[in-house]
Amino acid sequence: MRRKLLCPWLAFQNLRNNRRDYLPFLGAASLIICLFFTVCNLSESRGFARSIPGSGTLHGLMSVATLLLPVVCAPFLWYINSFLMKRRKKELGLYGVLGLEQRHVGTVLFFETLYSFLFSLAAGLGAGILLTGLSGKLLLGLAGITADYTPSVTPVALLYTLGLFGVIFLGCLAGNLVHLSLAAPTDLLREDHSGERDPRFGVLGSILGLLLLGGGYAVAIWAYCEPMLALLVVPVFFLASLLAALGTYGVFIFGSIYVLKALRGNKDFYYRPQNFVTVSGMLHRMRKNGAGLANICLFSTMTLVTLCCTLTVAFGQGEVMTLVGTDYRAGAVSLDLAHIAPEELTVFFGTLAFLGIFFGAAFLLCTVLVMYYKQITEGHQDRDGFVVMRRVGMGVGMVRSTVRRQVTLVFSLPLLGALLHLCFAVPVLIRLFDILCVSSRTVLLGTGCAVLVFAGLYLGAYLTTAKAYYKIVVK
Amino acid sequence: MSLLEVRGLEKVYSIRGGNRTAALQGVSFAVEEGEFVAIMGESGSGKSTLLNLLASLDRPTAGEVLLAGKDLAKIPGRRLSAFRRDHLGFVFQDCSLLDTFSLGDNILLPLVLAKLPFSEMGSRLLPLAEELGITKLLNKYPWEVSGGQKQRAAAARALITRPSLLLADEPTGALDSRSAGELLDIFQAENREGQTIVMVTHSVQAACRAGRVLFLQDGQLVRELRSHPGEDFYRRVADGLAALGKGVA
Ligand SMILES: Nc1ncnc2c1ncn2[C@@H]1O[C@H](COP(=O)(O)OP(=O)(O)O)[C@@H](O)[C@H]1O
Ligand SMILES: [Mg+2]
Repeated sequence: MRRKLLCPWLAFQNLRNNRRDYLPFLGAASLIICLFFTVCNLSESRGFARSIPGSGTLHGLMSVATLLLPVVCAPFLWYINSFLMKRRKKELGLYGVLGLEQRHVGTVLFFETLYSFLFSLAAGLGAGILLTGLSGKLLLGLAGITADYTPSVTPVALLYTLGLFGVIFLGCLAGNLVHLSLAAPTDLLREDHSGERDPRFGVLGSILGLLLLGGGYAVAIWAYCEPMLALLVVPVFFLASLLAALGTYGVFIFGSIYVLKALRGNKDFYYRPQNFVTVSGMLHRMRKNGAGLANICLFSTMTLVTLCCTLTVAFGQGEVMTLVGTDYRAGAVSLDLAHIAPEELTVFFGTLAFLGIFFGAAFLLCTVLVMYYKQITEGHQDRDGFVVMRRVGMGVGMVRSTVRRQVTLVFSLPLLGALLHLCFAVPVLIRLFDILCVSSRTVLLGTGCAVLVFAGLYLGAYLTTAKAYYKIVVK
Repeated sequence: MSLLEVRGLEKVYSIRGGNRTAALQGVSFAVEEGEFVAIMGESGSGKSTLLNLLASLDRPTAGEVLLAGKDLAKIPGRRLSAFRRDHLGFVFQDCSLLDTFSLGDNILLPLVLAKLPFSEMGSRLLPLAEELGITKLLNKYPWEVSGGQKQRAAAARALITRPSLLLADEPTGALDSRSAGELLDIFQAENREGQTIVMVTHSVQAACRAGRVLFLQDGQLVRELRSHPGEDFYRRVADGLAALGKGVA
């Protein structure tokens, strides 16, 4: 093999050998690229601007969406990428031992990232371009526009997509290189036991977390009860979300350990086969990665809220259309229904529904994938443990029920958290939809349906992941 | 009746591609209650295979293993793990303590799986930990202690069920010679108290602590040595091993 070709070749081999880990990542990246390109392309389509009444609204909403989508998706892709890197620590350490210089390992990582980028770009853009006509029809349909017009591929959208995801993948590469350079070869080879001790300031952290969470909830309730806040409902919503998100991290990272240690302290409870393995396993897991569950909880909440809004918009459109032309006003800052053109309103609602579907899909994908990677990673960590437990006399039946219990806990905790968050988000959403003159009854209906849809999808993801986990652990 | 009887044991591994390795062929021996037996052989001679069969972690291709007159092959699968828990203790080379548990909880694991009440666990753990010199380490986690200390905890985990037979696979394989000596002291002390032990090893230092050494070569038992009081057993075991290499066994 020519020396110059060694690094590109190694990079290719690495991706091939780790394909079980990388394929879901590449799939998700492709899908996000596809979603982004589609939204961006429709928003930039010149033809749209001319052919549609109320296209100003459409263009405005779509532009905001093209700004927001990467804000969520970039950190998500970075997060998954760091997951993958951590799993490959040993492999990278081995390169060092085998005499490959860090410079060369860096080059290998560069090529890996390049291949990943090109692959997801090709798949995502390919799908996006193929589906241009379809997505255009969907948007037009939802926006109630009968114009006979098919959007085409705009070069600007292609450039934006290329640039944005180029930057995101550069971020991945930078993260990988930092990861590589920070760790000495011996560190990479050694098992990482840092962060397995109890976090410092545990009690303080738990209390702070609870306070922030309570604060977020209080702000949400306050926004519902105080009509004066109607003008500020959007910033207030963000404030409540921020507080609740920080609180979620506090509760998951610190509070969980506090509770688990209390359970461990109860000897009669702790020293029973099921509890013994589950409590200590959860404690170990939360010490190592308490933020993981918090992330899943927040992703779930985001998905739920997005679904909820999308469905409310879809359900509420008809209701609002009947009010057009009347002087109905739900609140101080509601739409002026007496003076709005019905077409414009349809475009507005349709575009919102369209974006909701796209955002919902993106968030859902993030949630499911983070959960999947978390379980797979933990499955590999737990496997040796289960081998030992089999040796010292744990029956297959007990392994099975322990695994089921563990997986169920990891799945249900974030879901319960997300549902609790949603309970407090709904009052704010009601005020938010006051602006659009959608009634609170419709918001509640949308919420109910969103919960059902999400729970169904979540359950599907749970079953698939639990199966993969069980396969890894029991083999 | 011997505590452990092995008759005509055979194990053939079939690997993908149709290759077959006969890891054990016609292995027969017996272990009396209270004995300390070492099985010695080079790497790849079939020691781990043999031990896994004795531990009922694997099924033989032919032959039988009787523990206290009971044929391991006749125990139904769902009873097997309970049987293992009640009658056998294991110490492995990679000591296999779980990082999720403190040393104390690691040691208690088999008792918890056996659903013993907590009060009983405490009254077994403390004296045993005292004997093995790990009382101060019970609240530490595996990664916080040395290899020798981990291996002593693994020995405690094997002994706490009061097994009729203690099985050890290269227990000193990953230890420096001082920690190895300490662990072997513990084995000898337990043996003097009546614990039956079967240990496989490739180290002369470890094997010469046993009362009897069986030599395993290419999956067959080829020789047996018994220690006599007052003699230099180390020399004889070392000579026995050297003779194996020359093929004059
Ligand atoms: N699971 C297995 N599959 C195929 N061959 C095996 C397996 N385990 C062991 N062997 C083969 O059986 C022989 C004996 O192995 P082992 O019992 O591990 O030896 P020792 O423990 O004495 O080093 C070796 O040739 C080894 O390659
Ligand atoms: Mg071996």
